Amino acid sequence: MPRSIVNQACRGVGVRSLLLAALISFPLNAQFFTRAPMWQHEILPVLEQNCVKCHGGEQTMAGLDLTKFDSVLQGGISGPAITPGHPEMSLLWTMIDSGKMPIGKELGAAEKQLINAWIVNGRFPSKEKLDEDRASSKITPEARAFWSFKKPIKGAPPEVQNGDQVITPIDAFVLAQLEEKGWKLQPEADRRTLIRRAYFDLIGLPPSPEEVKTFVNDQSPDAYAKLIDHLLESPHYGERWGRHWLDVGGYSDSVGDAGDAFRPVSYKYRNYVIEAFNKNKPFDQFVIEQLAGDQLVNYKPGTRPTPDQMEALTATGFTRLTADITDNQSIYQVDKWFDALQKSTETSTKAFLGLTIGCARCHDHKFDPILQADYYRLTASFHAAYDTSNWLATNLRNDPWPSRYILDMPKEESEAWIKQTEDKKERGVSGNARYFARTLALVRKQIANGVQLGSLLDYLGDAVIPKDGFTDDDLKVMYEEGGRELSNEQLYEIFPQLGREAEEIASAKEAEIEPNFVWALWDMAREPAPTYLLLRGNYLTPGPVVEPGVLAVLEDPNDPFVFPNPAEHPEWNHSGRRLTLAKWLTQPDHPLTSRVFVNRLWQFHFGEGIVTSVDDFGKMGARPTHPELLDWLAVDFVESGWDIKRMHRQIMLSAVYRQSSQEHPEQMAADPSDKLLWRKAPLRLDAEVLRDSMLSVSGTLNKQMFGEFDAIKEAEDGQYLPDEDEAPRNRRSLYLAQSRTRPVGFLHAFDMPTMTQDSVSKRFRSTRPSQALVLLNNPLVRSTSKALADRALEENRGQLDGALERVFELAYSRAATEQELAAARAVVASAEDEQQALRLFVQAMLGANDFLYSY
Amino acid sequence: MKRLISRRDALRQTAGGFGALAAAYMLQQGAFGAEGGARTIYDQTPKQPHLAPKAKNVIFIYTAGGASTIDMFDPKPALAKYDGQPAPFEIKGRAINGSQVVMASPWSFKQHGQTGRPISELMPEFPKVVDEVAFIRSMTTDRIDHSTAQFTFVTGRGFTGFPAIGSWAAYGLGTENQNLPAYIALESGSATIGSRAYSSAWLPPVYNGTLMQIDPEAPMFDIRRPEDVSLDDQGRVLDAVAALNRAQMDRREVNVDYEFEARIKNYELAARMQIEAMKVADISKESEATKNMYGMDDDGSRDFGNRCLLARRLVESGVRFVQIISGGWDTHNDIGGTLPGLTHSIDKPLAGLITDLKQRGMLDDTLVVWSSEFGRLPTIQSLGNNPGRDHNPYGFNMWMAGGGVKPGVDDGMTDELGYAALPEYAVTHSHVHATILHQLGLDHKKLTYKYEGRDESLVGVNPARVVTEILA
Repeated sequence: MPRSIVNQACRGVGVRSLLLAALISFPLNAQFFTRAPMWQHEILPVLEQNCVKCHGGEQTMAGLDLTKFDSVLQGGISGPAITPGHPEMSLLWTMIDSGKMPIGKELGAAEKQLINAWIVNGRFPSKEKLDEDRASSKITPEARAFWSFKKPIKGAPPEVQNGDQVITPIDAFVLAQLEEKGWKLQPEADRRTLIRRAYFDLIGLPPSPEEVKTFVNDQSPDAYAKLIDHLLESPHYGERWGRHWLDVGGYSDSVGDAGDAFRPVSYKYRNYVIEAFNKNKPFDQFVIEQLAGDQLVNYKPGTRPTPDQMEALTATGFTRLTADITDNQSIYQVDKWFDALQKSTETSTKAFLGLTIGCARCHDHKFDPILQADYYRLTASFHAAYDTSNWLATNLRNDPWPSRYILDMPKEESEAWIKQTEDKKERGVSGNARYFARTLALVRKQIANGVQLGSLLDYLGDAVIPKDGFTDDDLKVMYEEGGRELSNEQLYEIFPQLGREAEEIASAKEAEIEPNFVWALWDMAREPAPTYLLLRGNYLTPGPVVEPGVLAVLEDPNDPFVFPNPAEHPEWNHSGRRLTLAKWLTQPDHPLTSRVFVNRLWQFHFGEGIVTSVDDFGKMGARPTHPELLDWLAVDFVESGWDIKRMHRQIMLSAVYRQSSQEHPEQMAADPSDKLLWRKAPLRLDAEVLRDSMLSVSGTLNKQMFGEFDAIKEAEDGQYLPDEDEAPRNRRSLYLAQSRTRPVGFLHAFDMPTMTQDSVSKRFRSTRPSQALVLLNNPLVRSTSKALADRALEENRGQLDGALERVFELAYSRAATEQELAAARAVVASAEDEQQALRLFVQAMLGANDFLYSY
Repeated sequence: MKRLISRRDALRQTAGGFGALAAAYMLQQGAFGAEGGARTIYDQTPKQPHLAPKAKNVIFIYTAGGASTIDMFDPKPALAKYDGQPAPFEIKGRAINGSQVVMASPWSFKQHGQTGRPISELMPEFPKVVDEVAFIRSMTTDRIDHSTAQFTFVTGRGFTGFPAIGSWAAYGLGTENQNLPAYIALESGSATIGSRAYSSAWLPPVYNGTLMQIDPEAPMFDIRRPEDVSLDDQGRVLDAVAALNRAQMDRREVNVDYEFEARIKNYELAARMQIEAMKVADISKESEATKNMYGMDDDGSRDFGNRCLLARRLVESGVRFVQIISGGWDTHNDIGGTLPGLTHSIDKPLAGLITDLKQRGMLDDTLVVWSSEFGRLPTIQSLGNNPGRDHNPYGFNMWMAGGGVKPGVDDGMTDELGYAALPEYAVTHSHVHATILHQLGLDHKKLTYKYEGRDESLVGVNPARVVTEILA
């Protein structure tokens, strides 16, 4: 469908020229447009509305196709349609100007001016070819030889002196570098530390005292390996590692628009991720589904997905995670469309290639061999879906249908639903319902406050609901009734109109069909609109057309990577572009995809990646601390069939991972950040792990999985808290509503990202007084402390000693030391009673370093 | 509260053996790479500026929604000339009930002060301080909707995900008082972009703007001791945490671990912050005259006035950057009915703030900035009984005062209708950012942070220059 776009020149350049034009002459004329009107956003809509019925699309009369920039230049049987710079010599203009075209109607003055100005000032570049870009001096043999652009090679693990410390090849790589310093690995951590570490790492919860006991007493040689296997099979594994991946993709339950509305169905993607990890979905498959699940299953737009298409479609939610504010204002959106398209491309490139390409939006990358053309070649793959000349609304709030959602309902139902939304739009019922509720609230409040009639009306303004407005009698009654609280029923009595309206809305609501949406991405057309390189990144200045492609530096110069032409695949319901991109990414010998992902896994286990700049494997990024190890892991990973759980096992069974976290004066002074991995550095628990662990040890964690997000509410002081009044309660933190502007206070204090930026692959681990305040005063800490203390007392029939022993087992997985018991006794000695003393002491335990860290 | 202070001393002794690192707010990032194993520590201790600073602190007042500066500070006689007529040149709105019909300002203007600058009758108190301020009358910005324009104005980029200017200032300079955050946000109404108007985004979270409330009992999240917890009980928890952490350090035989040390000090700092934040939010000791000066004697201006007063107290206490947000300035309809209430809510407080700062000798090193994300068009939106004005990013006013700004200066101008800045004078949000940083002694080109392989800055690749025209 052609879509008329009202464009405004709001950029600085536009403003100046507008102004100059204004000073020079009035009324409007072609000189007014000293800037070039845009083909895609100004010219094409005019042509689509007036000309393409005959010239383009279904038929191309006189051989003229006006739907594409190139074919306009090419013209038809009478020759080129335009002569750049000369309207009087351009058929397109003379036909329009003389009124010969379009047949049967005449273009408006503004439209004519636009076409004229476009021919006078428009940018008509010769079509630059991919080859020219490739010849660019940026892509030199040296550039191609950069470490991360070369294929990883699995080398033999080095020989080491301390061979007795080697359990897996990983250890040899790490030991070799430690030995250069005359160091070796720390001894293995004790079993209680190991089991806590493994639990926090793999499932994000502490072990129960019983689980600790079993592990500590298991004398079999593979006790630790069994523990790891057991945890990898836990359904909570997907919750923990799914959360990591949601960070990488930038998951949020809110849109990020004005008012930051919640996304109704994004949770389905969250659940897909959890399940993917639990199923141990091979990573290559995971990549393909998330980037191009729709194309993988050849989804046909407009149809109800079959059950076996559902998973892959849901996976494409990944490409929609970016803050998408294109529904924000219904008129001026073009800049935001490009933002959404570009951000989506950038996040995907970052997540899978470990490269930041944002700079190339405006110019060739300053440091890395990434061309501006590369940037737009990559966006071309997404452009087929995020089509800036055929945009779909993303939020159901303002512009309900069509929308960037798939209806998963039987045909009759979905048709009925669409009709319902259209009717609603026409009648404004949904708006009415909203205003009605608001009006009611306002009327009640204002009447209760005894507000004067006149100002009450001012206050209500447009919110007044009764279709014909309040009558004078109504108003009189309202005024007279002022000063006392009125119930809805009383109000209806006074204003029968309000009552009727309420009834109407209620019954309409009851009859409403509840839609079932899939949050997904799909191509708007098999052959998408052209993608332009945008000069200086500005959509107002489109440059040459680019074809879909990949980074030139990663291509074989003698055998460039070519995207298939959908025309050769008539069975496709899509352009095939994202699928091609995903398959390119997951070639077994791709230099980046496997390295980038195993590096992420390593980071989540150790706190830092082997490449510490996990999203930047380019020139300005860090170099790997253990390059041979990274390559070994990357190749091993691909050889195993991109098996994620196996890679956890590889890492966690190593002596490097099992090391003690003990401080050591010499190493601490020489390598405080543990670059060489001389110990397993203690890590402060992630925000969610900390909250979930508090709930868990207090026995109040609700382990129910999946579902929609759990409600949050605003407390009196403006802080957001989990809504205790709404079930389900006390589930794991990843199920709490994730908002970009309303973070839950507890989690925010401990560095849970709010996704103001589009992805956070490496969280901060800060130390801030706000954290101490949370641990002292936050309702969650207090209620879990109380629950834990009371639970321990109850289990020990009120015996304090037994209860103390129990809380140490539950919270610290060990017995108390003499020094700790002394601390407990000090509290007991001064507090009112033993129960209160234990509650206070438990709160201190949950706020002390032993609980806050994984060692 | 006394007990907490003595406890603080006890805690200090406990932690005393671990070196003198002032680890108040901090974040350690293992930034190893080319440099080797060193850790970078991000905290808010005072930092050396690049240049000699003209201002120590900033109070950044942000009226979200788009204030109609042509009805407040910048009268345009041509509006009266064309009132009800088509504009003499095309006006680009957003086409939502837009029109080309010019609307004169419904309010009259009078010249005020030594500088004789006209101020609208909507702002009867502001003339008292008008000679202190410098107007930039040729502001432009590059986005036309609230979210994007607000991101632009506060973070330098027209989309989500970049740090607010206050975070940059806190990162570059730290702050005097280690017991309060370096960057505090006060909301009298909120911005369209919500808390992202003071987010540190990818700058370390120690530089995030901390939302502060005017309630002296609960000025920050989780700062109030719950009602059912006695002071003694809270003391017991603090004692026990200290003892447990001590026991852990002993058990592990830790001699040097900044992070554990920082965490211990954190409780100490929290206790101090509890006292200090409540103290600074408690305005009961301010005289009635002072409160009245800030418009706190009036229902319409009390909320914003209280925050202005709090801003002064925060700056006095050594907080580097205070941002006050006023919401609701989006006057599409019925500007005649809505703007007077909005201007009333800030008029007296603004005059009071500048007067008070001056009386206390604080204006010289406190930069006060007032702006919106954009202005409003000279034409009518919503033709009919209740006309309003649509967004205008092409030309609007903002002002600054104190902190090395030349009082009484006007920089630049818009065209005769107040529609677009004359190009030769155009000042962008990035120019303003560079200027604010410059007054704090920071060079906008040098204040960078490595993010995703780039040396990112507040202005990024946008052209930016210091607006020296308004500087003393």
